[in-house]
Amino acid sequence: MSVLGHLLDGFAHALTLQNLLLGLLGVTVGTLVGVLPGLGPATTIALLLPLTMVFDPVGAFVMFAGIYYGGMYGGSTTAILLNIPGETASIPTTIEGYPMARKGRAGAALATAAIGSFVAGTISTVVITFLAPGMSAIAKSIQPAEYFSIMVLAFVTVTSLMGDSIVRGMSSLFLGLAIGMVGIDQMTGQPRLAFGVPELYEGLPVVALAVGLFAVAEAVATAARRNRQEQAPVKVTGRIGMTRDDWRRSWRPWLRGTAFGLPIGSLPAGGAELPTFLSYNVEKRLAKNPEEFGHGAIEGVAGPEAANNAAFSGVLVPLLTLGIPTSATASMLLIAFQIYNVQPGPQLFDQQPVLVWTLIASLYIGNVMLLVLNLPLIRLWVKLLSVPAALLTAAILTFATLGVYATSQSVFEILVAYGFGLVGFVLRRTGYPVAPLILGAVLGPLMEVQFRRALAFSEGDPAVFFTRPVSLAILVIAAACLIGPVVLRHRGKIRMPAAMD
Amino acid sequence: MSTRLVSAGFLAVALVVVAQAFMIPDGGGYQAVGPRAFPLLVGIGMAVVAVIGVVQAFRDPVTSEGEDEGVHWRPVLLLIGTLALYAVLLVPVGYWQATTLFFVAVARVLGSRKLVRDLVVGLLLALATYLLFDRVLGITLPPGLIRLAI
Repeated sequence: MSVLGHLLDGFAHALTLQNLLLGLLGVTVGTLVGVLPGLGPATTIALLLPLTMVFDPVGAFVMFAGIYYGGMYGGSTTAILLNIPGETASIPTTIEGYPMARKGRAGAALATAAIGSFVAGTISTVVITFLAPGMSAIAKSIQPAEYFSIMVLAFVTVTSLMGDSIVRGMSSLFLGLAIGMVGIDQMTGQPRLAFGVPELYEGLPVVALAVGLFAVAEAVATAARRNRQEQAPVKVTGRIGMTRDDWRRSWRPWLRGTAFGLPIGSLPAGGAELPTFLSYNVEKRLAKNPEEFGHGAIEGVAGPEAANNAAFSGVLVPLLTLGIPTSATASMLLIAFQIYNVQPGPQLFDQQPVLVWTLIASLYIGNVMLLVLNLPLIRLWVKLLSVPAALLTAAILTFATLGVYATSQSVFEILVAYGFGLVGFVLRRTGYPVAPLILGAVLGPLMEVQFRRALAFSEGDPAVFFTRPVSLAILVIAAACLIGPVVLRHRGKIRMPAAMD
Repeated sequence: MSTRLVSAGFLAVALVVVAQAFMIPDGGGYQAVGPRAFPLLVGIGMAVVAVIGVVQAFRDPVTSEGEDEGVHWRPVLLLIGTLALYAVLLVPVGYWQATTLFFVAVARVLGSRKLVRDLVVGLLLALATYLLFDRVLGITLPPGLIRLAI
């Protein structure tokens, strides 16, 4: 079947009444949770994971598409009205969106974010539709050694892009890899890092890990900053929408943002941070009045929001075709796939055509739903921001616990989630990024499989990763990504005193 | 919070991983690579990074996120206690009963002083989720001591 035939087939599945309702539910709860301060898309998915468990895989993934987009839209609302970024990629939105809101232009900021995300999301989904099957065909020919190297590259780029210290990012990543190894070795049945605890033989539960690191950690952080004055959201006054001038200033940033976000997101290395910041800087440079930046320039909301959304869609390409997540949110999606015993990767398009194409079709539908739902309902979402933090945190912890228990029926897993909640809290307070940890824990086991396969082919010769030209090239790029920023920073440090003279 | 302490913690974990990796019997000779190689690689990699982290932390301790605000340990410790109690009581006491109490306790730890409101919200939330999951979605939650008539 052709791509279009598959896509129509996907739409046929996605447009059933049940799936449309699930999509609508996903978009609504996704936005609802995403709007809450501090809860980014990854946390949103972690919290809502168990809700999807009761549906068949296709229905569940339709709902996920909705949650995925809803969580993102909700996040930009919080960024604009509360000056709280739900994730690193939302930081540019806070820089321009919050000042806009304080000037009484919240309606325009929210509208340019929503419409820009819709434009970027739709363009990206069209490109993914035609790109992903081709990528999947290429992915099939990738050998274990190259696969391993690609994963190394993904780890390195994600780690060096997140947080300000590569050492802390790498520490976090390695901790994740170690966590991923806990349990019985799949190939030999040998228990590893289980310390004789029977509950650990099946490995550390990733759902509990994710819920702990994101949701519980957020709750602990709220407790730790108690007594601090609660920040009230900026009031949304006037019309939600854009003036003719806003449109004129927004459409180019939307398209440019998409042009940054989609390709970078689609690489098995990207993530959403880099294109978002790139977009912000480019808009600042191209703007007619750059002095407005920092004081509420609409271009600074339009571009990064589009880039963010395009990158989020692009991230699905390496996730679906290679099985490699390149952001915390994508890791959550991979966990969702694994709950259904579906392994994303080169074989996915052949083995699960209905699932994949329905998911892609739901991305189109989810985008439209959000645009239709979000702008009219925005005042309702804003009301959520006035719920007292104490009740909100209590509710988050309740749902986090419920989610872990519902997926496992195990009190042990609840304790694991709470434990990692504390770990996540301590790591965040000391500047260790959490995303590489979850990435390592989820991707580590798959990486080991490729590692051992590659070595089996080479009869145990570890030179295999360096003697195969493609693998070597990828590893060299990875090394450059790792060392490059360190060198640049070092030179920057040396130059600074010279410049002060 | 001390970056030094946390960086030392990473080093400790790395050493445990390396030590544990050495204790993994590396299978028969028929395999090119057994279950030990990857953990060993990860453990050594982690140890190297952790050593650099410790050196950095002691040379130039960085205060990170939220430098201006210290951690309020009292509510954090109370929250940990509440969480532990909830996990222990969830099954014997029952889902919605334990959850109602948990909700009220967490809200109180976080500074809420409106007991009645918290109780009402908590009870409604607990009952709603219990009925949704247990009765509608078919995911069994602990019924506990007081059983619902519905």
